[in-house]
Amino acid sequence: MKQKLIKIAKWVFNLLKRIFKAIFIHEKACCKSILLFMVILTSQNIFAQKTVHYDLHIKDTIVTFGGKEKRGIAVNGQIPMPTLTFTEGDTAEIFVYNDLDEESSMHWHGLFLPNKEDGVPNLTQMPIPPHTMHVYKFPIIQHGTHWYHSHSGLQEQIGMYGSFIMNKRENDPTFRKGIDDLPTVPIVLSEWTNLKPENVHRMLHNASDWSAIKKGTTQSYFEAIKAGDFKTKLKNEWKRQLAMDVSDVFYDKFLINGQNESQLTQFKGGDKVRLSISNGGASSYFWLSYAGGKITVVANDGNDVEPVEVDRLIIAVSETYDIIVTIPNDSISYELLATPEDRTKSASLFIGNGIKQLDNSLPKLKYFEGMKMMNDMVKMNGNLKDMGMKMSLNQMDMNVVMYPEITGNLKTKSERKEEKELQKYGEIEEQEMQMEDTNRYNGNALSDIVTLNYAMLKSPTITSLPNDAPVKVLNFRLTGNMNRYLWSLNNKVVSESDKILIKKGENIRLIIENASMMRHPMHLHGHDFRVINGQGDFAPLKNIIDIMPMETDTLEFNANVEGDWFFHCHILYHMMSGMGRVFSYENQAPNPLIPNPKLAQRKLFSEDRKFHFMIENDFASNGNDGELMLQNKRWSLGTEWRLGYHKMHGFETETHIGRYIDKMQFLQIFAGFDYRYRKLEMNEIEKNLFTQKNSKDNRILASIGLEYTLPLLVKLQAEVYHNGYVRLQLMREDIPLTKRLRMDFMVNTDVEYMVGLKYIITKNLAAKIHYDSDMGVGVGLTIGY
Amino acid sequence: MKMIFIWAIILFIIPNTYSKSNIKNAKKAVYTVSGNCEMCKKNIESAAKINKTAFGIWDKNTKQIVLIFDSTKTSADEILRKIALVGYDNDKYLASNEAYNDLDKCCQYLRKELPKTKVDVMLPIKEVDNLNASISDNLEDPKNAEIIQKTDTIKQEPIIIAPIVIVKDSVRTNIPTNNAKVKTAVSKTDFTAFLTQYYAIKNALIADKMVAANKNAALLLVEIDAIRMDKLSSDEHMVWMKYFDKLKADVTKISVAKDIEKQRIAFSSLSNNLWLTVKGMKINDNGAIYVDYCPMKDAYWLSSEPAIKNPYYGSSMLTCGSIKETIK
Ligand SMILES: [Cu+2]
Ligand SMILES: [Cu+2]
Repeated sequence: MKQKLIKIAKWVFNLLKRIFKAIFIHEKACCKSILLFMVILTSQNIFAQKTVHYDLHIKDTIVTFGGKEKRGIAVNGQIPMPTLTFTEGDTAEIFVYNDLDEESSMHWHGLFLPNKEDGVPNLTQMPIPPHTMHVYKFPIIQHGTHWYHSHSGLQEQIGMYGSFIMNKRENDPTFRKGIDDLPTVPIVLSEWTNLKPENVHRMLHNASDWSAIKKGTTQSYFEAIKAGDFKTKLKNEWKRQLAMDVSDVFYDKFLINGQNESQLTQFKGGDKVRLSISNGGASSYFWLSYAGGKITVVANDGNDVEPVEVDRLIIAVSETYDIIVTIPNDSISYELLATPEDRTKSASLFIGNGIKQLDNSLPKLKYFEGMKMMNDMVKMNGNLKDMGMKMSLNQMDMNVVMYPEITGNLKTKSERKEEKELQKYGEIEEQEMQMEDTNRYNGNALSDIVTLNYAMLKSPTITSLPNDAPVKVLNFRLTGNMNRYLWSLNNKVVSESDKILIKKGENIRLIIENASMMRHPMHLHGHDFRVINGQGDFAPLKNIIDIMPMETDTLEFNANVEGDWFFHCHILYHMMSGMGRVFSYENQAPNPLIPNPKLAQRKLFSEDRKFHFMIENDFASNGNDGELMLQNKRWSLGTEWRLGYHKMHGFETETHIGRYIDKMQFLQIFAGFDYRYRKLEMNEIEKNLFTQKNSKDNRILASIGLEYTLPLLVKLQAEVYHNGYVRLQLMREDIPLTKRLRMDFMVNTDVEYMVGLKYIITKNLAAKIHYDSDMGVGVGLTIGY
Repeated sequence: MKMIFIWAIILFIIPNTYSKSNIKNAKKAVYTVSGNCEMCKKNIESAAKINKTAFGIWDKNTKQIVLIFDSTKTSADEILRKIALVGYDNDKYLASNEAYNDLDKCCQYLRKELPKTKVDVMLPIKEVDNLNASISDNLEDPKNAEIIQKTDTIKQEPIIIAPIVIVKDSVRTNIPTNNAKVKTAVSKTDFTAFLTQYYAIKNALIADKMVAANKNAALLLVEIDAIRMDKLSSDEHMVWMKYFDKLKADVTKISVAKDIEKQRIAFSSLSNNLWLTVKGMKINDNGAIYVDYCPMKDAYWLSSEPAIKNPYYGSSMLTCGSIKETIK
């Protein structure tokens, strides 16, 4: 290749020399320098003209990752999608054929490219219609490990993710001997669920705890009592919190390059192997550890970092890490273990040839310790306390209280008893821990295990921004409400906010504080940002940053390429709920791929405005009870009905259309409509507690009211009907008694009351027994969707 | 009402009972699984069992397991992996060191010697303190040292060589016989031995080991007596005279107490007195001495390493506390 280039260059040089000679015979010396200059130009052109072409065919397929035949989306028949490899200086030309019956798109994650090639449907291009083709073409102007995925709907969850590797040029001054020349294996981590992702999304919005049941993380009262943490659970519900987990979705399988377990047999003892790892999971963070010793981290998000040796690291959703591992022994293969944050399962890659050496598996999380920590963190109004700790860059991980490998195993019953005994005699003070103990959440100080954090990343080259550019500071709070799965920035979702205008040439500084109770991997399209982490001019460059609850991180980037760039949480279900913003350059040229910007915006906004549907009916021995709900971010429409088997029980329905008022969504105002038909016995008149009478057997009422969530998650409803009739009601649904047993109760000023027990059998089926003041005891089956 | 009961029976009981059926598509395979005893058999077989899908029968003499499994639902590899996850090496998988160490002592079979590594393996470096922790373990179970030495050396805790306990030969004869494994070494200063022995008590308390604390306290008494006052300067002598009795009283309490909480109370007093002694006599160990504070017990302790390992609660609240002072 090189020789060929030299030949061509020589030929061009000679040719030009002849021409020039002919023209300027008498100015030889001067000509030579010009000629040299031209030669350099030509040879660079030859480099740049190398076009690397890929054809990608997107097709529906059936996969069995989870042990059942389910729909997946494969590209060129593969899940993950094929690895695309380039060298810096190439031009990428990628033909995407959408053979699906639905729209699609392809986003090149972490790449610097013209905005119209970025692949965000309805923002940088219109979606690729079914059975059509779209061409992406852009120069490769960077190097490093990146990946690509569909940015349409939830397609990423069911297979549309793959590695995108850009190699350094051989003569790159940043080429690192012993690192960049190692044998390298691209790796994509991902997860599989047997549920349709649309259904996962719907269930999350309906606060279904099916995932928790599958994971065994219901954190019910019975489990709390067994663990000696009844008070903890009570306090948690008193603070109006639902049981939390480190992740929301139950997955049937975790995958490394599409396999749960696989082996790289091409390597032998003594080899050093570089793994270019991308986390293509839709919502799973993975712990990475290696049975053959330490892991050396050499790059993050495609950018080189000074090598750092660790025992383990967590890779956030959509992050990439390049790591080097060494195979200590010839006849053994060593496990690279990828454990999702909830530790329910894992995936393994064995490196080397021979018998498989397992790595230490991660012990189960201590959920009630987490709950205690959360109780300390949350104020009565649902906001997080300011703990007076400056937390940033993953250095403090509050979740360490749940990690047995760092904070020790759960206490046994006898140990707890002993402790209680001692407390009684005042030998131990109340368990209230010292808040000022700064190392309380510092995993690296608490144990011998070295866990990577962002403060340990250092760029080998200076990354500082042009210092004469104007600075624009933007503050973001990551906000959220777990109960209704509402995720937002500054309490607003994409469709509720304008694009953020920035100017070309500005330095943009982002100060991001996580005020929600989940961690969020925040990703910026089209730019790398510097993470201000104490490394000065050598701050590492990244395009996604994981921000844990209560952390504040500062990022900065130079606005250097026009366009509309998405900035969002990369947890797919958070993004689809509207957790993002669009950065847009002032006075930029219109995007030729968005012929109708208004239509595009409407389509973009429709994503997080979607209503989520839920229906349930209890077929009981004493009648039918049912409920239908349609909800989105702020609105809720619900209808309840009761249908008796005889006239006296009658038929009753109540419909509420409500809007949530406050940030935490504890308060809702609603308008209601009631209809009732029944036949009362002669002379029977019902009275409520306010001695208002109500005797009509056939009534139609309109009402307005308020609903407020009280401590212990009891809902107080106050309703006034158009005829002046007033009703107050207290209700609590789904008290988690055991893993699968739930209790409901209701009482109101019409002197109606109800109490019920429900045993959840499958995600759509429950057995129920209840007592109702109108209809008596009923036993039945509840079917829901 | 009768109806209700019938409903209840149908709804609550039927979903929980499933008929016992034989394994479909059954396949049989035989593998070798390391193990020692009946307890191992139980562990291995319960790891191999997957409801309605697989089970295994292991023989402790031949070390062979016969696996019967539904080949459409699982594989021999998957089952062998599960067996290795609970600590048992087999034909396909080697257990992690942690899983192996978590086995009961009687189940810790001899692991096969593996070929030496070709490259420099990055061995995790452990602080001196861990060495001491294993002393107390060894004192309780002399067999331990052997087992540890036989385990494979690839990527795991460093081998515990002879624990360093410094002894004066003249008094050594009085000491209980359980230190057969304890090798002697010579100290640079008398106080190093003294502090080392104090740390051994601390480590016993960290590990919730009452008997080990008893024994190490007995050893510390010997160390206290071994301090030769005629070698001390007059200033040092004054300090030593002041605390000598107190130290001895505290240590005696620890050595005879039959309750770990009583030991901890005495240890708190011992730590305070020792702190004053160390400061008063300007003792410096080879490294720094860290004075750590436990806010919940309002108690102090001394340590040779900066990492917090709280001796007042044992494993339950190991890392609670903070460094109050560093003596260099
Ligand atoms: Cu992405
Ligand atoms: Cu994106």
